[in-house]
Amino acid sequence: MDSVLCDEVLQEIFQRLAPPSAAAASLVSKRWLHLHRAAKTSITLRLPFPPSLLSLYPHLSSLTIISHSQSQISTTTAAALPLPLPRSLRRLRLVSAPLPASALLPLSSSCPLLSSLSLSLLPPLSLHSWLPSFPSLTHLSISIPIPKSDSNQHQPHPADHAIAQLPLQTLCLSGIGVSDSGLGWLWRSCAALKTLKLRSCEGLGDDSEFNYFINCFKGLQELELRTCRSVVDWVLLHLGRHCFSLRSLLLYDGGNRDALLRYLSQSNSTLKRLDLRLPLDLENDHLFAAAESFRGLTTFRLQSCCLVTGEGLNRLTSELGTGIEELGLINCDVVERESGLLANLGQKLTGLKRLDLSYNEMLCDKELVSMLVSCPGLVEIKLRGCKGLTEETLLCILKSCECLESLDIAQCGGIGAGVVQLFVSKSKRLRQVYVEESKVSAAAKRFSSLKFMEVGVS
Amino acid sequence: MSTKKITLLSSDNELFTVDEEAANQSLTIKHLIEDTEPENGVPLPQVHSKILAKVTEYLIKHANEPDNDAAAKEELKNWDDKFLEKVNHETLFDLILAANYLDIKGLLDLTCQTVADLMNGMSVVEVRKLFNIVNDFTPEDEAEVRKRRKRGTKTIGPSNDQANQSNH
Repeated sequence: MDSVLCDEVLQEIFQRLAPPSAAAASLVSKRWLHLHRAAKTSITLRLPFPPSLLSLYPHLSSLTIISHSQSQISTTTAAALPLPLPRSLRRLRLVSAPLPASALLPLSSSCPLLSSLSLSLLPPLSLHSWLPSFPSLTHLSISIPIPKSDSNQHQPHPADHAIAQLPLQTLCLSGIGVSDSGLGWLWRSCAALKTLKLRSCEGLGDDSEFNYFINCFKGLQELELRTCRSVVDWVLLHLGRHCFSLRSLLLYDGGNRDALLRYLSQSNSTLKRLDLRLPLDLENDHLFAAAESFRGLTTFRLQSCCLVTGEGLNRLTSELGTGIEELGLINCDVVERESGLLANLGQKLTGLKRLDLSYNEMLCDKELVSMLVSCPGLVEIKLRGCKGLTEETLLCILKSCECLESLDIAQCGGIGAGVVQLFVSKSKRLRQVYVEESKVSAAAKRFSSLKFMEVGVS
Repeated sequence: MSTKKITLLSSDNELFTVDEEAANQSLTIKHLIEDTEPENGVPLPQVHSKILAKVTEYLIKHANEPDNDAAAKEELKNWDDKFLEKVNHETLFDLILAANYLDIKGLLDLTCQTVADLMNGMSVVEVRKLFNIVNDFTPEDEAEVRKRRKRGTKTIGPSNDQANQSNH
């Protein structure tokens, strides 16, 4: 039979295999191994690997290189970045000790077509010296190692480098320090930016460069700020004044009460997604403001906000009502504290598609069930770590939420294996279940593979 | 719409008649009848009547694919499942070959997915048996490939970068 099926058809079949079976297929015969490799466009390799290995994958477009050894720092760039890499490469991710900026010019001549690059970089970043040599780069992710306090040498102030027209659309920066300079050039050069993600950034360049940051607000659609305590208030202030295209804002671990309130009240906003975690003093006033300003909101997520009460949530959902498609109240004790709140929310949010109530440990069946019966359109429910829930919830989901495609019930100690199996076999459209492997019986697994369902614990 | 009939001729000289609209799902047939329309049916010398019967059954059922009707889609999907339910492995492979030769995307997708589903969960030895393949690896080769295989592929479930990046 092997000889009957041509390469093309076998490739078609390989593409449809679940990952573990695809790996097994490579062990069937030499021809299959060859085909399996030829079909691969994305691989992950651990250093060191022989340079000839890459030539076995002629259609490679995406490569991740992992090197865990800390000793391969800067001095042996060649070891961390085994050049030349295939010219066809579009996406490259380097998971290694930080590289010096000088390593990137050789990379750009090896892989000039890169559209996505992710790496860890040693300061000085010298972005102006290498970034323009990647003419197709639309997605850049740089993480900067936290400097040791004694090595806080002053960096020379950068000369005025010519501004470039970078095609960057997505930029992720992690670990910018207060004294890191040279970012002004970057801010001025990425006017096409759509998505900006900052993580653990203490600064955005020195004083003079700070102001250029506003330049990249022009077409910005998505902004994420995670643990950027010292810049978040400033960014919010200018975001409200200068950015009129934002669709999604994520704010984790930072931001003071007033700055956030000012942002939420003053913007005549285009915002569709709002995702807030742990502004400790976030309270009802913020929700009232959001309800007034964000008329087009479709996604609202709150995480670990303990001052919010049912009054705020009720007002928000009354104002935005059926427009809301995704609601997240993660580790928000108001859900457990105020009886009947969820039922109320459910009745207003008739357009709800995604619900995330993870880590509300005391949440009980009765509260949740009273909400679910009003939300027949749900396609995704996350209840991870809701230890108070039992099989009653699962049976209600089965009955009320016929469109459900994805369910997360990991770390739900009260939900037993028996009802999980019943659920998997009865639910019509389910595609994904996150649950402990021990709760998935062999029979349920078999059933799930028939329905192309993914069962995972992650 | 035209309801012109197209006649197909199998390798063992059996004739099958379908609407042109149904036949056009096969790009091979579509191209063949675009040039000149053969008088004694479109000759398909690579497809036996036993297989062509199944193929035309599929073509007729899928001639009018529903666009937005969820219930009709569901019905068609159930029909697809039944269509291949009682087919033995040999016929299944013949159907793949026919779908590939006749260039019928829907049928190729369906049959390849069915084979992939068969293979999911099979051991390497079982796969060799299914495809009647002789193992041509030396033990050293095999050990090398096994070693290269990424460790930690045992966890099932989605593994996208987004999930790893998010901080939940």
